[in-house]
Amino acid sequence: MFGYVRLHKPTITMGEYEQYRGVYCTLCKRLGKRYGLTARMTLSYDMTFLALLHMALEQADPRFCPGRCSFNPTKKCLKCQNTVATDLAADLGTLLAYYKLKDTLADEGFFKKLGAAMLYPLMALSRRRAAKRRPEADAAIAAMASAQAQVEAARTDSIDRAAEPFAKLLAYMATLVAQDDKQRVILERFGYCLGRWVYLIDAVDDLADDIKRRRYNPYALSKNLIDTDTDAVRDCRAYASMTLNACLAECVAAYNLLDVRRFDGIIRNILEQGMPASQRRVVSGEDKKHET
Amino acid sequence: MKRDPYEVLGVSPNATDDEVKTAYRNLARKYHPDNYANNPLSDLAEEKMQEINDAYDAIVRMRKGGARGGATGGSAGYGGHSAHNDIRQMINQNRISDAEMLLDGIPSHARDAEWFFLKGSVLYKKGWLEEAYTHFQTACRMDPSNMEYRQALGQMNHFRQTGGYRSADGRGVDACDVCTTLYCADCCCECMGGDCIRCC
Repeated sequence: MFGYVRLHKPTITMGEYEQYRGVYCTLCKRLGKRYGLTARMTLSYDMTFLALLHMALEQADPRFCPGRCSFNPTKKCLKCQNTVATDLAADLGTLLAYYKLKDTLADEGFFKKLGAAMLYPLMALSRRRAAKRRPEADAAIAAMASAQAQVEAARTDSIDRAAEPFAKLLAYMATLVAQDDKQRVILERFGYCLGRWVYLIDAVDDLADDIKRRRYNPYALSKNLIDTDTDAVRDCRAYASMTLNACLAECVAAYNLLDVRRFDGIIRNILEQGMPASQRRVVSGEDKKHET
Repeated sequence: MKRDPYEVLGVSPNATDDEVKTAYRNLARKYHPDNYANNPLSDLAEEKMQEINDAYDAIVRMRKGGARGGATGGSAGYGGHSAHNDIRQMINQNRISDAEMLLDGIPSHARDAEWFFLKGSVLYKKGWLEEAYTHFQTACRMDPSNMEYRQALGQMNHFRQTGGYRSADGRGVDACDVCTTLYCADCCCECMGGDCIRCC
């Protein structure tokens, strides 16, 4: 879906990388098991992060064991036998992907629309299954989507207001992985700031495109940007960087209060290096969207 | 149930005094009240800070065999005289929407620097960081001598510049920087009667 919440490979240890891959592969496998082949395409770093955070807090061990990638059987990877966290992430990821697809159908260009229309029936089926398992999450995402549509229709120029629906959704999702009340309070703040960061960095990533196509963009509106490639756009990016820093700092501050049982190194790698790296890449505006 | 002080600081019982001190300083930097000013999680951070302080004290006591200072408070939270004491209290109790409603009920001609500061605090707790930032700026502009407002703005500026993480390629804050800032902050704290970092 977004792909900004990712590892920073240069500094992660081999062991941690294997574990991360293990969670990623398990999530992929559970997506396939629960929702079929098309659902595997919705596999994302963001949902992997949620699963990782969930496992970090869970009392039960993830129980890694050796396995093979189902797409490339020559490749070995770890698999988790405890799938509580990956199942939740798979359900939420499927629901999110469905609403994202609906969004694409509503406002992207012709070819993207065509692709989305072809996928739609399959995704709708998966979503129905996921909604049956997690009716509250489905309702929360639907509420987010309609709040988001309202914000865009009103063309609000407040960054805070624009980011609110998605931030609230992630706040809700993060609380789902809490193991006790104290964690719930911390995760709510953590999720809010993380969601805000994701929404805002996506807005920066789309800035030039949105200005060109006159689509809704909170940064463009708040700074009154009409043309791409002007000094104003460059200033806006510098400003955006500070707004992103503020969110990230809040995320880290909240995370510091969580007593995680495992994966601290991986999560810190993502929060303190991977996300800043995404941010630098997006803010510099060098290459649009993600390399892998 | 009390955790082992060495475990709290994340060092082995065989660690040297310097290692203990370094571990303590790093943790104190992480959980310093300044990092959680206006944050809805500030009480949890304070708890953590207290735990770290106690652990450090316990280790020093064990190693020296002597007695070492009693308890000191963390951040004082909101206090002092103000026209909006009831609102401050609500903010302290994390009753954000109540506080916001009262604040919004104050007519715009009666909105002083403190109003902007409190409104900024409410927005900050809600996670509306941009509007919080502009409100803190306005509060500081209206009353530049107020330390409370300046501290809130300074903390936000720090986060906005650095992202609060220590970057791998040295672009973030450098450790010296943090230490000096923290040392200064602690000195301020100490003259006000508190002492967050015991070893300096």
